[in-house]
Amino acid sequence: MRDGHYKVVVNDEEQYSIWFAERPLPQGWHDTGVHGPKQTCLDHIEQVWTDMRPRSLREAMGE
Amino acid sequence: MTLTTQTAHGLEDAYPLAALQAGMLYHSAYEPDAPTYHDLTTITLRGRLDPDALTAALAEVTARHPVLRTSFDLTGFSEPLQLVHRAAAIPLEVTDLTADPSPRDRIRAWAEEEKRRPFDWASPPLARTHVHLLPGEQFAFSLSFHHAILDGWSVAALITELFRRYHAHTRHDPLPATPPPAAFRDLVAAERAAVASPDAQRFWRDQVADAPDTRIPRPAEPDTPGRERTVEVLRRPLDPDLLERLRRTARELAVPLRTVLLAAHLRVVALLSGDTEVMTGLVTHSRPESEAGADVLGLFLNTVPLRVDTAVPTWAALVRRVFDAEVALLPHRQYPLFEIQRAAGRSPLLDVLFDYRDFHVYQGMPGVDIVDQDFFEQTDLPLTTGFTRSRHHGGFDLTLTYDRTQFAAGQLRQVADHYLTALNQAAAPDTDPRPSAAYLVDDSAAIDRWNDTVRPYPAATLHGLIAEQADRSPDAPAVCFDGTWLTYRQLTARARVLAARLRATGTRPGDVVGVCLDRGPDLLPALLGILGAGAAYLPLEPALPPDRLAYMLDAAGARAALADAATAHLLPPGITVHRADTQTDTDADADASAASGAEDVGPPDVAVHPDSLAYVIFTSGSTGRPKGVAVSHRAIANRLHWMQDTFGLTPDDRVLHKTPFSFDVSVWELFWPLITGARLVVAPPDSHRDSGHLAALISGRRITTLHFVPSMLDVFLDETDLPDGPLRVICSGEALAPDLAQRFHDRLPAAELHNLYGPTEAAVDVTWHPCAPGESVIPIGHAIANTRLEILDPAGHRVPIGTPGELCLGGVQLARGYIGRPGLTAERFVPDPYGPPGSRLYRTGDLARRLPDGQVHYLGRSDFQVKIRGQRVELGEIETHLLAQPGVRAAVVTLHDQRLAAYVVPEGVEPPDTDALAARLRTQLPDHMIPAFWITLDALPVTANGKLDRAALPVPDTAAGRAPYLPPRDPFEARLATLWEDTLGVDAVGVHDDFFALGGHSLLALRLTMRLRKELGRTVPLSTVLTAPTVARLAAELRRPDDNDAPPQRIVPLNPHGNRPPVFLFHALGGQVFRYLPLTRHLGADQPVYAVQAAGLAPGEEPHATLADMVDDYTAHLLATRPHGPYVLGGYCIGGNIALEVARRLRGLGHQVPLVVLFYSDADEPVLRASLEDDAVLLTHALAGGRVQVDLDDLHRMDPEQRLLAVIDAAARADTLQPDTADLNQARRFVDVFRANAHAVGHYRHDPYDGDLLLFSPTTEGAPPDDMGWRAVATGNLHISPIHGERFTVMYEPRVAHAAAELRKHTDHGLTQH
Repeated sequence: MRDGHYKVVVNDEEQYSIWFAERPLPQGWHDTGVHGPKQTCLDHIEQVWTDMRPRSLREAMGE
Repeated sequence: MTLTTQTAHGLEDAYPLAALQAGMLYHSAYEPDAPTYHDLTTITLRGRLDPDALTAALAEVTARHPVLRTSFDLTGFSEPLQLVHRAAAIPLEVTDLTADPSPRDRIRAWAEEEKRRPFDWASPPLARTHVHLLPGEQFAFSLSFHHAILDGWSVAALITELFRRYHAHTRHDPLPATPPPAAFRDLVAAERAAVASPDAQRFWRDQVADAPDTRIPRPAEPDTPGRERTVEVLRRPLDPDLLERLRRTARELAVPLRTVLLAAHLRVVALLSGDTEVMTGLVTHSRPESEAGADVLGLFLNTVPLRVDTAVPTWAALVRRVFDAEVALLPHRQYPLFEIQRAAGRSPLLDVLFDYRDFHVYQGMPGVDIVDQDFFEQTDLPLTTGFTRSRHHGGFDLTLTYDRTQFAAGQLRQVADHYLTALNQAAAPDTDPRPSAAYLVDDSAAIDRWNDTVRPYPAATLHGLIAEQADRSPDAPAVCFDGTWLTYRQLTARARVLAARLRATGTRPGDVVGVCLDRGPDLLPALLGILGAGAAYLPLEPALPPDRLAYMLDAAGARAALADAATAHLLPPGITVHRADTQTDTDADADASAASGAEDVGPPDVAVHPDSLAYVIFTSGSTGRPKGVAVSHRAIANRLHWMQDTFGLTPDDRVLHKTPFSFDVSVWELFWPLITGARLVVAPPDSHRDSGHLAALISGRRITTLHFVPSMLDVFLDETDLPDGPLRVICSGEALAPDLAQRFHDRLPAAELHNLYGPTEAAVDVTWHPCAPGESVIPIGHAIANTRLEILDPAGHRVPIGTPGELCLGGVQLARGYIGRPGLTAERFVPDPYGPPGSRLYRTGDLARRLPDGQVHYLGRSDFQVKIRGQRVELGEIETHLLAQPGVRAAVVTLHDQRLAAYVVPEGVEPPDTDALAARLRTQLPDHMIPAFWITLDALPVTANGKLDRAALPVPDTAAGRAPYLPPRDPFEARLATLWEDTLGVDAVGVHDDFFALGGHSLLALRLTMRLRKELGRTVPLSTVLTAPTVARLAAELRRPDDNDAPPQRIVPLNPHGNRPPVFLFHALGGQVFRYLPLTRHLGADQPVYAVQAAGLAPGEEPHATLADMVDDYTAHLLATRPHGPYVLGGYCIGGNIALEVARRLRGLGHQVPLVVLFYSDADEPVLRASLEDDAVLLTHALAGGRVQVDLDDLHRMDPEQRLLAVIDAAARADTLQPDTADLNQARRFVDVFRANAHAVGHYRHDPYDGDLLLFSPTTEGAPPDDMGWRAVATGNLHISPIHGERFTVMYEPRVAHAAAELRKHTDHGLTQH
């Protein structure tokens, strides 16, 4: 992925990633509404993705 | 024909060649038998031929157009010229085929021959015509010519004019022959002006700086592999409706049709090359822009590069971007491609060409009716995309002209389809040109099929699978270390003790626990114990710098670690360290409880979810911080299930664990055998680097399966005693070369070889290819179970099959991410647009392409990650650490022959202390990341665009940083030095050069031990090379006590081979002869060389007392060795004096001695007189070459033994001690021989000598070389060759090469008087 505009996306397991801002999202991914240059998006993820366990695991571990 | 016959009467003009002409002539000359640039056009006309009219018309056009009267002279002048002759006649031949049953076949056969009939460049014209008369009132007119005189437009214009004139002649109404208004020579002048224009130079330099290396992928099997290049044309007419829509698009966007076609071409090239930014060749015309310019004949073509980034959101934007690029290059289009290539510094610069031809040809030809036309043209570019105005339908044809030795017809048909897809898209300019899906309908179906790898495996945990196996076979042997076997029951019991210990001290599910242990019996129980406690293990190699261990523990959030007594101190404070040893009491308990039927010791393991982490393995990180890859049980269990599914281990199998556990290959080595009931054999620490040990271990422990990194496999295959039984070898970690695979099959015919690929981020391996003998390409194979492979372009779109792109991985084996690094994880693990909803793809950064059968072929890296002996290294990580050092302003690290080179720019003018830099790096980075070469630069080289120019970095000098050169001192050291040179790939290894400073690393050290075993029959432990890293020290280590004391032969054959007259070289004062090795090497393999050593070197042997004794003895030995001459004799210092007297003796006996060579020998004073008069002086010369500060009076007062010791001591302190005197006995003997030789020769006065003498004599700049007293001796020829520099340098690199050349020259051609 080259530099350009990106959006912060998240899937049902609450795993975060980035995707091209002007391209339709692959299935199963949701737009968090945060858009911008790549580094801005990655910095945002660094802040919000505090527990990297997939959601199903967290739930199975009783949290 | 030569110019002299022409100048007087024949020439009208002469001017230089256009660059393209020169290029074409060069190509023709390079492939004289190929039809390249020999063009042939044939048109068929209705009517009866009027030969007189055609001859007259030909004469008129020849008279009118200078290019038809032009010849070339490439060598006769200071630069190549084209010569315009006043007169020339285009030959016309006529063949009557009116009665021939198959005239078309006849013409085709004629054409094939004609294409290969060369032109004489010196005789104008470079053109011929031929008419074949056909049945039915038709005739075929053929014009064949060298492309250097005519371009396509000119051909059309020429034929048009020719037949207008022909028609006029048939009606006896010839057209006036006015001269054309412009001339081809104007173009040559314009081109020269362009080359001289700074504007044009700057424009093209900027255009090609950092330009993409656009390549069209070649198929695995071209149409005619390896044969002479032949071109084929694939032609597709453009549908009139499509053409009309394209014209409309062009009108809407206010650009020429050509620009829309060019945009489509660039899109297809982007698709095929796998890159969005592409560069194509563009055929341009520089025809004079006047009204009549169309009439001028010549070669008005040029090809220029056009570079465009195609990643724009609409076709309209792409077309406009292409138009802007075209407009920008228009003023500079006469700048020749050759010069542009030079500016770019690479050739070929272009792989594909775009050629738009809209010739309004064959118009205004009343009375001439063209039936058919055929045009043959062969250029030297692999692929040309043409859009050509068709004479048949008035529209355009797409033509793909390709080299059949490089491309295949099937592939080109697909490419033509892509062009039509792109053109259809371009006709709707609001659409997005970037998605590749429309081009890849068929490819995508195949990729989806190859990615359908679903295989249901039960969800599981690593330790759970082993516990299940332990239940099935509790008393079966599981793990062996150093001959001791542990049963499955004992293993799981040990693990449970540790798990309980960890839980009792606060380890909770989800934690990360470090393990700092060498490979050994405690390792596996430790890993299983951690997993049993619900935690993930973090491998901590004890050999790593403690700072790095601390960093990894901190980054992984680990609070506890397992260690043993030897490693506990390596762990930082704040980490709870637990003992990893459980040993015997646990085993006894386990056995006792088994015997009593009780449950196993320890409480049961906690329940662990399969998505919990199993391990965290750190790999190099480009920003300077290593990153911890966190892998779940589910991911690694899938990998192990697939492996068992594929290879099916049985209880009889034995798997070797030899990979360091910080490398994820160790995970399958450790766990796979134990989930299947097979056995695990643990190799001792460090044995993984010793192939001899490994071979013994494989045979001794009956190993059936093991892993190799290819570079280590390469070394292993050099072993003489390879295991001969069935063996399964799994390769991964580096590209597996076909040569290596073939060597494997040759050396281990009973063994299987498997090539696997995968990054730590996808649980060890994700592809598999079983190797078969004879493969020319070793792919990494197909995806394994529950795994998907995608190859994507930089915009994240699939690329066509065969096109390189970034390999991306999907499926259950993906890691959770980088521990504690959510941003980095999000950047590398991205949404998978082709996979199941919500799934991720890991972007590997590896370049790969699909082969037609779906297997993936690994091509390299897209970034600066390298592999060093299988280990991933981000060069950026090393650079970051270097930049953090004081005094370093800039730093770059590159890989050079598997060794790292660091380029450092210091802050100030002081060069950096690279030893100190390396030492500091060692406290931060693992050994394999420490550069071997250090280069100091004033500034880093940059490209025209200001980017780092890696190609311009100087190649590391592998000889830099050596000790002063000291040659080998005896045969044993000489052999060692040769082995070093071969192993390290460097020249002239001195006896004190450090193996590792010369770029050696552990793998090369291993190679060296193997060579030592092979060449010397000596088993040398790897550790010996590490502790004795110089030739001198290694020789000392290896020398058997009697090596020194064996009586040396008088004659040492330095090179006994070759048919030339033998050269005999005589010893100097020290008596030894190994200083003659470099000279021998440079004299060549066909020059036999023998050296004569002094008597007295061996204990009990007496040195010769007089030169006469020497001559007697040496002559006898010489004749025994080579009874017949002629002989060339020579020597350094007194060796020359001895040689002259032996020569005199041999000539007296009737033998021929054509040459005596004196290397710094003195006729007046063969030995320094002071040495002969004062033994203390002699000692300083013998032991220190005179370079030592001692008080002679002190020495005179001492007894001889004291004196010897005092001089040795002083010489050692001054670091001038002669290398031959390493031990005292040797030193004594050496001094005795030296003293005897000095006195034997020192007082000698030579009688006149009438044979030929060659003297190497020292000189200073400008002064004539000294004759060293020889003019008084020589009554025959004396040639003096000067030596610049110190006297002994004549024997050593690099000056010895010159001396050898001189010697050879004079032996071959006799001596010239000097």
